[in-house]
Amino acid sequence: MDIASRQDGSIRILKLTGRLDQASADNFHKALIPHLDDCSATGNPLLLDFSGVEYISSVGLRVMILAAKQVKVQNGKVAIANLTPIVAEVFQIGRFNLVFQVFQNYDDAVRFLNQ
Amino acid sequence: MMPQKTLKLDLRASPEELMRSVALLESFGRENQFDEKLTFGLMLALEECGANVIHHAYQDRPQERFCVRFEATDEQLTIEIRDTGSPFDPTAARLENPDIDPDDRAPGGWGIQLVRRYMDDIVYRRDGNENVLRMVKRVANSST
Repeated sequence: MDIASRQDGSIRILKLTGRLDQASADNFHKALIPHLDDCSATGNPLLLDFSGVEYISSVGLRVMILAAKQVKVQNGKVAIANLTPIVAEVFQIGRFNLVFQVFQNYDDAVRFLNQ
Repeated sequence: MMPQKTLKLDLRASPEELMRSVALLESFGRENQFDEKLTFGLMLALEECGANVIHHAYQDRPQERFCVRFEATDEQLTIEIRDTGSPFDPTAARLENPDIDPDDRAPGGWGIQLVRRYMDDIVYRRDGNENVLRMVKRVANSST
């Protein structure tokens, strides 16, 4: 998994590329933590762009749940955008729309995070 | 008509080796022109149940080994996983409630839930000193 980070105003945007699986999930979580640490009530809202994520398994869902819990404790704001159809189906099976604000496109996610 | 095709792998019990087998299964699916969703479901089933072998049956001992056999016929696609670790029945795992309040969710436990959604049958048996897990996807149902 690759993470490319950029800033759009106060919003931290992470473009994720690759597969979230047994071989990559731990390193992905470690790389995500500094960005999660910055995602607080006074810090950067976080947008996770999933357009480059072609595969996710339960270890990937585990990382995402841990991320959501950390951000919630910090009163941060996080959104997910651009799920590929296969990853969107896995999110749907796990009802991840109850855990994250999930948007079909980047602009809607940015609008939510800027509110 | 698709002739019967088989893929057999003898693997070390490590996440890297498991994902190598998942990549081989993906190539097998592409060569046999399985649709993307069908291939994804098979890959996911192999990863989730292989991970159970590594982390539960073998308790993260990468020197151990397990076998994967994949068989494709016109009627069905079968993944069989055999290991000689401690008895572990993934079909007995408690299913998570996806509608639970997000604050009350456990981070783990989604693997078997996903496998059940993508495979039609999942049967576990203890055969001597082996765990044997057999998962079947019927091709006629592959579009659902």
